[in-house]
Amino acid sequence: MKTVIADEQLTFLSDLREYLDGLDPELVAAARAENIEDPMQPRTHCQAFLRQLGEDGWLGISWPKEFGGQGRTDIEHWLFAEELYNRRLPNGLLTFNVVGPTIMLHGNPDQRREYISRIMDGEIIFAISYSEPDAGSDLASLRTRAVADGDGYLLSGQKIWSTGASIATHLWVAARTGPPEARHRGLSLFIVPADSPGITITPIITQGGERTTSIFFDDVRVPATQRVGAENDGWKTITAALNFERMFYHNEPRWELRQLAEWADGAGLLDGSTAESYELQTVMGEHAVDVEVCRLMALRGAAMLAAGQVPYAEASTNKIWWGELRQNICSTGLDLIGAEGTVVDTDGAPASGHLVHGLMSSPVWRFGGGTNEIQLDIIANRGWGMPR
Amino acid sequence: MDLRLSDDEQAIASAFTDLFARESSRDRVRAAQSAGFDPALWSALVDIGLFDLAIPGPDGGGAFVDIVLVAEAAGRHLACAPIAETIVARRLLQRLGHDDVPAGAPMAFSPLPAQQGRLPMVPGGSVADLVLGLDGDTLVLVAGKSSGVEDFGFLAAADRSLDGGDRVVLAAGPPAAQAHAVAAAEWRLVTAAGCAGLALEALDVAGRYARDRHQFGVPIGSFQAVQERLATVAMAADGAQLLVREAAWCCDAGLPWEAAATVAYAYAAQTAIESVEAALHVHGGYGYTLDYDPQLFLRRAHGLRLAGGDPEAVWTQVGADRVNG
Ligand SMILES: Cc1cc2nc3c(=O)[nH]c(=O)nc-3n(C[C@H](O)[C@H](O)[C@H](O)COP(=O)(O)OP(=O)(O)OC[C@H]3O[C@@H](n4cnc5c(N)ncnc54)[C@H](O)[C@@H]3O)c2cc1C
Repeated sequence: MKTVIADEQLTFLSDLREYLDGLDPELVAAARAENIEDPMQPRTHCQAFLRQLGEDGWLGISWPKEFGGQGRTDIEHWLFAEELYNRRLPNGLLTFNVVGPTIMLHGNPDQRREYISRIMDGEIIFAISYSEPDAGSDLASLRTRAVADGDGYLLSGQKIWSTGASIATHLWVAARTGPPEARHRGLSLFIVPADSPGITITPIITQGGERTTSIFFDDVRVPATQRVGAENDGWKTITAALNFERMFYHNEPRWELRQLAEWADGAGLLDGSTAESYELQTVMGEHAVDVEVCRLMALRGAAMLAAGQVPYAEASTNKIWWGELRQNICSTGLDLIGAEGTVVDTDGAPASGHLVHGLMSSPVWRFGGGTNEIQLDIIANRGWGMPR
Repeated sequence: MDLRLSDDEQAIASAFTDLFARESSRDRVRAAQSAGFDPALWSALVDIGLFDLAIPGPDGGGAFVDIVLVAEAAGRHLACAPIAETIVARRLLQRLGHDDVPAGAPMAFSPLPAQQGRLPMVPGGSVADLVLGLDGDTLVLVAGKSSGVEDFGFLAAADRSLDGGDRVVLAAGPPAAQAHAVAAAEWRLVTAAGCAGLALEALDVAGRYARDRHQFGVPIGSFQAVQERLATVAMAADGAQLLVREAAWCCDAGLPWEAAATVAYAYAAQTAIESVEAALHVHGGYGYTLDYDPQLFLRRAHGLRLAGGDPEAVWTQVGADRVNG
């Protein structure tokens, strides 16, 4: 078996760590707190943090140097994302990990030049707008329409769950350009500035505390140059982006397991020989193995990307494993902490309330990025050749 | 045991189901959530005679099957009231000859012994003046108040101290431990009934949603993946309800029932969480928002499970009862 992480990449990692360790501690602490509270909305501090990284040349690890990137492989990009996850710091979320790579893959040269460099400058942030009130798992039934009009389109319809749209500068919108019966063959993908006339964004609050949004498009003008890929050929772009998204989840479970370990250490359970400490150590051991598998699944995905392939069933596997694991860690963690972990006010709560917060947010990972049932279909159909 | 309910039991179940439907609607629950207590619901329960029904008196009352039927209905409607705690504490006081507690006062009770004189996160603790608990080898009734904290299970939980304030020693030594053990078993059984009701309600809600919501041109309830997920937990919820009712029936029939109460609690509490997780998942993204109800069920289910102590320890108790029984 080939070594996935070569010496050169280990050097990259230690340089990165040294760089991150040297950053202004106040900036880091503020970005971390904001990121923990709601990772899907990079606000003031997270944006400042990412701009700092950009200025120092630490963004766009795997993007070509001509766009201001570091021109390295996807393995380094994976190491970068993992290191930031491990510190619970923002790593560029959907903009850097999903939309950017998809523009590199399916955007035209003008779009690549324009958007990649603006992403690198921290000037633009994307939110993803595929889902609609009646088109969730059945995304190909979406009804938001882009009707040809002059040198562009008029966009109308409603999106839901467009997470981060309240702070985004641009929306990554799937819309129907063909007839409804064409299903996924009648869709196109558009980049739409979030402040375009005719767009209304309203918040939705979730049980995990994250905000997401509904978006209403009322005859929004979109120039044809904003279409990514050919008309009615958007599905290719959407699925590529979805696979990037399912691949980009990886290291939070490790961070959550560490919160549990720190709580257990404080409670004297890590070296005790009581029934409770044995139970805790067993649970920690089992979860640690699952965390390692999670890491390897993400690394395998990075290796595929580095080899020029887009992971498909592998991305679905990664997403299910990661989401279920987060839920398991937080759920067993709360059981171990007990009733004292149910205090809503997190000041002074065991493990700073992180596990309870994780428990309340973890159900979303069973349907965010496509539900696990749909992922299992993909694994069975694409991965194992089962008939549809 | 006859698993069918008698006409009288049916009448009790439907009277309380109606009461909770009216006095513990989802809107009312949402309004009562941060306090974990709905005073108007509580008055309605006192007025309808819940405590005459639940506590043995000269004119009857105290049948455990009746109690679990009420508790199932309360669980279904996410009642914001310390029903299990008050029933259990009042029954215990009565067994010990203390029936001078003000009628209709909500009470707090914990099935767990105090730690250094303190009961952490005791359900009902933020609304009850009176808390009943085991402090070392004494069983005490303590009057006082706690400012309370918001608990995510909205059980009006609060830390209560047992060693200060206005304290009456009800029993000491082995009789205290014994009396507390019986009360703790009763609490587990009433709470198990609440969990079973909660699980069944969550599945009803999920079933309705699965019939209404369409994707791929058909109701999502027609997908086997959805059906199997719901059917698997429906079996468990069914089992939880049977365990609860059997334990209650044993109690009324004068048969050993305490171990069965612990089994019912361990299983029903776990089933409640599994059912709610399934229900939430069937709702897709909608189930994750504050506007929909699964989040209420999820938080309550976790709260009810943790109120009984470390869930693993409860299972250990189930095993120990088997080995020693
Ligand atoms: C917090 C949050 C953030 C999100 N962020 C975004 C975002 O940024 N951009 C975006 O576009 N979307 C986003 N989503 C939407 C998410 O991708 C959808 O919720 C998801 O695809 C499921 O769609 P749905 O919620 O309509 O559920 P439904 O499709 O209605 O599914 C309901 C249930 O039916 C099951 N089901 C449906 N079809 C089948 C089938 N064929 N076989 C078996 N089971 C099936 C599902 O698994 C699920 O359990 C987000 C959602 C949430 C809650």
